[in-house]
Amino acid sequence: MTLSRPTQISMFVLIVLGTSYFMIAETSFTAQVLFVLFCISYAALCFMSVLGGTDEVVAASIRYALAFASGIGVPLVCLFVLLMKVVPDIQGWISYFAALSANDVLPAAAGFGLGIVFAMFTLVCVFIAGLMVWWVSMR
Amino acid sequence: MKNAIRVLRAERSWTQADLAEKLGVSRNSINAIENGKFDPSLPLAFQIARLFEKSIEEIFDDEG
Repeated sequence: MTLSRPTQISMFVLIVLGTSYFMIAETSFTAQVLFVLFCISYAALCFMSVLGGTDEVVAASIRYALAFASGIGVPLVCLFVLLMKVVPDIQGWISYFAALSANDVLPAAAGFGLGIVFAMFTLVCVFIAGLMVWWVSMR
Repeated sequence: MKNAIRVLRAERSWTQADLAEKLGVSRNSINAIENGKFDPSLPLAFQIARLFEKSIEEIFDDEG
């Protein structure tokens, strides 16, 4: 079973938007648990799709993109932490967005959540860039 | 690695998509292998050879 690229992209957008929505809006605990279960199920599906995929070129492209994400994406995320210290305005923006969070979430926890979403977003963007570099080099 | 997949495919009037479907891989993968940008694994090379009823050496040239 292979997940098509449009499915992967739309699921990624859905998960990022969903996570942001749950951080900002007042939602029931059940809805939050269901969303987390949905995300975990999708992650498991992706994992099985990569493991069970027979297309070795696609598998190689995923390995390349994973190396790209870990080799470039992770340092980028770490650099942002340093950048936050050098440019204090960034802390102000984070505080602003954290203050927009739902009432039952403390601003510090919302800031932590924003960090997770940012790291996830950056890693996926670098992963997609890695995939594009791979497929362009294969032309 | 050079290969004769494009010629063999053309002889049979197969498109890249047709070949991809027969091998159970994506069309982009066929394109990458055909252009010599990606060397297939031994099992896939055997699968290609069987499909074209040729030996691996007749299809792939590692000295080219």
